[in-house]
Amino acid sequence: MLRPESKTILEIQDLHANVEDLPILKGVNLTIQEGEIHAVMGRNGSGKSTLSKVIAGHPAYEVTKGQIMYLGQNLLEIEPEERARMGVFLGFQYPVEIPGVSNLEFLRVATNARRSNKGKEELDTFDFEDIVKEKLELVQMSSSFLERGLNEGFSGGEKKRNEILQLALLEPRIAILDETDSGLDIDALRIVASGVKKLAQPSTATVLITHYQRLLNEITPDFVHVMSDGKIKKTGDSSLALELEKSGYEWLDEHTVEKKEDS
Amino acid sequence: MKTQTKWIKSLPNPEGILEKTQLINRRYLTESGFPEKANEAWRLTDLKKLEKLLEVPLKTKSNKHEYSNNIFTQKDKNNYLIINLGEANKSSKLAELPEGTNYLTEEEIEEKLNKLPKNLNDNEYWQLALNRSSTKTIIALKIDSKNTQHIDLIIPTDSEAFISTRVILIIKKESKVNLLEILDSKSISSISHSIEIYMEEGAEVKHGFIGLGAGDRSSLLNTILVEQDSMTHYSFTSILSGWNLCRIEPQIRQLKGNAYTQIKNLQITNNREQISMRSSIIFEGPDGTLDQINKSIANANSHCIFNGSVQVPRIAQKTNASQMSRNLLMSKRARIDTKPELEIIADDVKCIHGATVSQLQEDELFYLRSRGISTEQSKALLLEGYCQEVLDSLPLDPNLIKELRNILLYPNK
Repeated sequence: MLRPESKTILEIQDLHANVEDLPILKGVNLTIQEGEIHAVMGRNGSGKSTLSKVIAGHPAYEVTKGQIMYLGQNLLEIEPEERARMGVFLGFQYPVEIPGVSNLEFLRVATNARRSNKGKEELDTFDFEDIVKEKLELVQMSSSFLERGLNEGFSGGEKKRNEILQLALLEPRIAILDETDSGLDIDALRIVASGVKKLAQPSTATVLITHYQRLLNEITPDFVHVMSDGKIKKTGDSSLALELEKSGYEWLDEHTVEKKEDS
Repeated sequence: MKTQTKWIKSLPNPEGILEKTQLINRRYLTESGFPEKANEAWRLTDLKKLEKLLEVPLKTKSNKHEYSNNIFTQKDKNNYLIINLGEANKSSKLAELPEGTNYLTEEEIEEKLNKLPKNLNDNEYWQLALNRSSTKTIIALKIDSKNTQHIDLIIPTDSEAFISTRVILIIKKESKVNLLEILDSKSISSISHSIEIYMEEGAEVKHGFIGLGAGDRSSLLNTILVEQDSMTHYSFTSILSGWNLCRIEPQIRQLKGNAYTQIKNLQITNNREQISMRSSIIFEGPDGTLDQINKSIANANSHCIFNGSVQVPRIAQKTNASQMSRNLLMSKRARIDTKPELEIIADDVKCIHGATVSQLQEDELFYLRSRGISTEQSKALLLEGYCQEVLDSLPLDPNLIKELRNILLYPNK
C-alpha cells in the first residue's frame, strides 16, 4: 500500500479540543497518506468521536491548540461545508433523522456541492437518479429509500448504509467513518465493509473509528491507533487490533505504563 | 368600543332569510361589547389590531371582489366543483353542481342558521357573532355521494373592505369530500369567515384551508365548526401566513365518540404579525381519536399563539388523543405562546401532549453542512422539511404544494 511518492492527505499536530470548556483532545498527532487505511480504536470517552467531529468542523468543539493540515491547507480555518466540498467526509455514528427532507433531494444537493468543487457540472434530477441507482447496488439498498425522508424511520443498519451511499456519491479524498460498524448485524456489516473496501482508491484514505475487531476482520488496516484520554497512546499494524481484542484495553494500560517506565 | 359601535351602525339593514341571524348577533355584539384583555380567550390577542379590523367598512356589493389568478385552484382537473364565494348573491345558485351535491333548501338553511357550538363559551362567541352579524350571503350545500367529491371554495378579498362569508355543509351518511378553502389575499382587507360542517355517520372529509394574507393590515378571523357523528373521519389542515392579525378557531364535536379527528396547522409570522390558533375538541362518547399537530415559525418581531383545548368527559372512555405543539423561534425578538388545555374526566383514556419551542437543531444543521450544503441552504432544507409534514396533508396536488411551500418560505423570490 505504501508508496514512497504518496501524498500526505491529513496531518494532525498536537491537537487539543474542548467541548463546553471540558478538554477532550489533549495532543493528538496523526499523519495519513493517500492509499492508507487507518483504524482508530479506544474505549468510550477516549476522544475518538471528538477527533472525527473536529476534523469535520462541528461548531460545538473548540480547538484550543494544534493544527490540522489537509492537502497542505489549514483545515481549521475552513467552514464545515467547504471541508466537505474539498473532499473530507465524516460517516456519522448517529446519522440524524430529518423528516420532510427527501433523501433523494438531499443526496442530489450534496453531490452537486462536491461536484462543483471538482469543476464538474451540476446534475439535474434525472441524471442524478441514474447515478444514484448504480451506487445503490453497492450498499444493496432498494430505491424506495430515496423516496423517504432523510434517514426518517430508517433502522440502524439502514442509516449506516445510507452513510456509505453518501460516501460513494461524494467520492471524498478522506473518509472518516465513526463507528460505522456499531448496530449492524453480520450481513449488514459485510455489505458496509465491502462497500468501503470498493470505494478505497490509491488516491484516497480511510479512517475507521471502531471499538471492535470485527470490522477489521473485513477490512485490514495499514495502521491501528489506540486512543486513551484524548491522545493516541499506541500505534501499530493490524496485529495491534488483534492483541487488543484478545487482551482488552487493560492490556494497553499496563503496556503504556511499562513504556513510560522504560523511557 | 367606539369603533365597534360605529362598525355595527355602518352595517346595512338586515333582510331576507338572514335577517333574524343578523339581528341576534348585532344585539349580542352591542351587549357584550368589544373583547377585553381580562378575558382569557382574548388575553394574548393584540386588541389594537383587532380594532383596526373594524375600521374598514363592510363590502356590500358583491361584483367587484378581487380573485385574480388563484394558482391553487385545481381547475384543470375534471370533476372539481369550484365555488367563488365572491360571486355569491343571497342564496343564489353559483355553479352547476355535480351529481351528489345539492344546495340546501331554505328550510334546511334556517334550521342551521342560529346553531351554536356547544364548546364555545360566551366569551369566545364574539368572533362568530361578528361573522353572523354581517354575512349577507352564504353557501349551503349537502353532499350525498360515495364517490369522493372535490370542492374548491375561493374566499374573496378586496382592498380596504371588510368581507364576511359563511359556508354550511351537510355531509350525508358515508359520503366523501375533499374540500379546499383558498384565501389568497393580494390586498389589505379584513376577512371574517366561518364554515360549518355537519357529518353524518361514516362520512369522510379532508378539509384544507390555505390562508395567505398580504401582511401589513390584512386581518383574518376564521371559525370552523364541525359536528362528527360516529364512524366519521375528519381531517383539517390549515396553512396561515402573511396576516397582521389572524385568529383561527376550529371547534370540533365528536357527538358520539367513535370517530377520527385530525388537526394539522402551520402558521408563519413575519414583521410584527400575530397569528393565533385556538382549537377545541370535545368527545361526547367513547372510542374517539384525535391526532393534532401545531407548528409555528415566528420570525422578526412576530407572535405565534397556540391554544389547544381537549375535553374528555366521563362518557368518553377509551379516548385516544395526541396533541403536539412544535414551534420554531427564528428571532430573539419573536414570541411564541403555546398552551395545551386538556380536561380529562374519563379514567380509561390515552391522552398525550407535548410542546417544544426551539431554534433549528444544531446537529441537523451540522449533518447537512458536513455534506457540503451551505448554512443558508441547510437552514432552508430544514425549514422545508419542517413544513412538509403539515403541507402533505392538504387536499392539493403535490406540485401545487411545492409551489405553496416556496411562497411561504421564500416570499421575496
